Amino acid sequence: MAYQIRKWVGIAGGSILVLVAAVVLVKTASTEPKPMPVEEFGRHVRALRSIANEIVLFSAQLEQGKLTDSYAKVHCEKLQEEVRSRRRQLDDPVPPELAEPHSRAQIIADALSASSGELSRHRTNSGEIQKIRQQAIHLQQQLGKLEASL
Amino acid sequence: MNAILDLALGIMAALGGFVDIGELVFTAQGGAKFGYMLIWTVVVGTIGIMVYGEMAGRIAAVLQKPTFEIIREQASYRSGLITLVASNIVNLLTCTAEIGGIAIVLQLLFGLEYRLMLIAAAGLLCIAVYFLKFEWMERVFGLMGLALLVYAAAAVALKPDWSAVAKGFLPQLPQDNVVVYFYYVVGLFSSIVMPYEIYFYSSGAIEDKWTVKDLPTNVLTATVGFTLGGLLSIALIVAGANLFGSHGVVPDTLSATALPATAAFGITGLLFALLGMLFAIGGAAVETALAGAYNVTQFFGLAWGKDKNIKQAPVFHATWLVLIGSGFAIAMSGINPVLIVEYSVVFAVVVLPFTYYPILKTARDKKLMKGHANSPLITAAGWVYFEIITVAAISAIPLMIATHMGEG
Repeated sequence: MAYQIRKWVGIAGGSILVLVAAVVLVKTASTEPKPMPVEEFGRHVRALRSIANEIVLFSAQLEQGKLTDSYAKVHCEKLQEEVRSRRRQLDDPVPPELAEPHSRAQIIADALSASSGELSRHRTNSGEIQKIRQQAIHLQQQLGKLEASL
Repeated sequence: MNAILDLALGIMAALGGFVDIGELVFTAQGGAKFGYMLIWTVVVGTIGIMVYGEMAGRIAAVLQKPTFEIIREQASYRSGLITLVASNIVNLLTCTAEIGGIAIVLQLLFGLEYRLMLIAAAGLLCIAVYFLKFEWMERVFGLMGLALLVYAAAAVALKPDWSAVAKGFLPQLPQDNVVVYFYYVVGLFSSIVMPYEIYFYSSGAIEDKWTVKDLPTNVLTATVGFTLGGLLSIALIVAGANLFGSHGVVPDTLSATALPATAAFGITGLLFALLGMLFAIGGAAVETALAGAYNVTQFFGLAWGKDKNIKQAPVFHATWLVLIGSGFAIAMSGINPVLIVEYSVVFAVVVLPFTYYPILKTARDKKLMKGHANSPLITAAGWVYFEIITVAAISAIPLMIATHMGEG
């Protein structure tokens, strides 16, 4: 008897859980995405600044001949993937007061993605590496200003 | 030389636990964000894993029982089963991340496509686990992983502020980002005391046919092996703080963690770092896959052991194969391995008390262990660490949510 009760309680409990999960899923899927809070936007900007700093550091080592070609190629790809992932997260809507910094951050993220791609293509050309590093330093400064303005 | 080879079990267990893919990125990030302030956490965690590793090895040598057999005996069937399922989910997640990590290192070495390297990684792992004898597996992964000592040399070569490093050995609070700091403290501590190290270490002691005569070797192996792992973690924090912290970089990729070695020693440093990573991460993958197989077979009282063939221990061999195969399939989906391992570290903390309490209970039991039961000092240390582990287990998931996985 006790087993039967436990069995039916288990079945009922399990069914309710599945139902609740399904309702939550449907509700989440059907609601408009909430605007990105300032803290979250700040996290993305900080992460982009860290990537810009990494491009500066990495390009300096590349120019000094401290890295193998395969490492340089693959690390550029990883950096580009990282920037793209952040860029995708920046596609989420933001509150009106963040509209301007948001679009600036998107432009900087695109520029960083381009820089990491360029770095991969010109990884054996020290003149080009220097140019890319200068670009990255510029982007890093812009991100610093953006972060300070938040 | 023989003495070093005897220590290979401890070195492999420690390297696989301390410097796997997640730990490499996590410590470098911790160093970049908080300088040397997390060093004390490594010291606390290292002493903890030494205490419990020694107990698990002693139980294995005296009673010829590995950890999961102890869990089955000390806990009820149901709670033992829950621990088994939870710990094997953690093993699978970690194994997946490590397979991804091996593929990334192979990619960095040979410049080939990631998914192709995943196939190579899974294939090489299966070959290593099936064909290498246990003692050779320990030696290959444990001793080759020592190439990571390049980080210790890099930490010195990058000329850190030694007085600040020394201060890092004492607990201290940062002026801001306190919650994020605690996330790193809990994450770093739990990655050091990951349960699979203990499953692997105690089963390895039986694979290595330890008896009461080997108890001094157990003390030496647990002490030297785990100290080495701890020193490497400290070196990663110091090198990370020096290079990444000074450049405002918080590294998110495994490839970035090689940069301190290249900054100090150029291409030679890079090759040592990549070689060390390959074997340390490979060792972690082997450890997690075998730990999963040990857990299942020991819990259900089935035949197990690396020296047994497929006919003698079919479930054992099928389980590690399924773990590597599933890990490979998940990794092929393109999911970020660093992210997986960060989740697995945090969830592993929740399993920790259920793994560590039966060890403590058995090791101090004079009826079972007779003259080899814990001294009062070891029991006291065991209780202190059990309480720390419980606090970490309770706080891990809330901290992960509150800090957005350490991003602040």
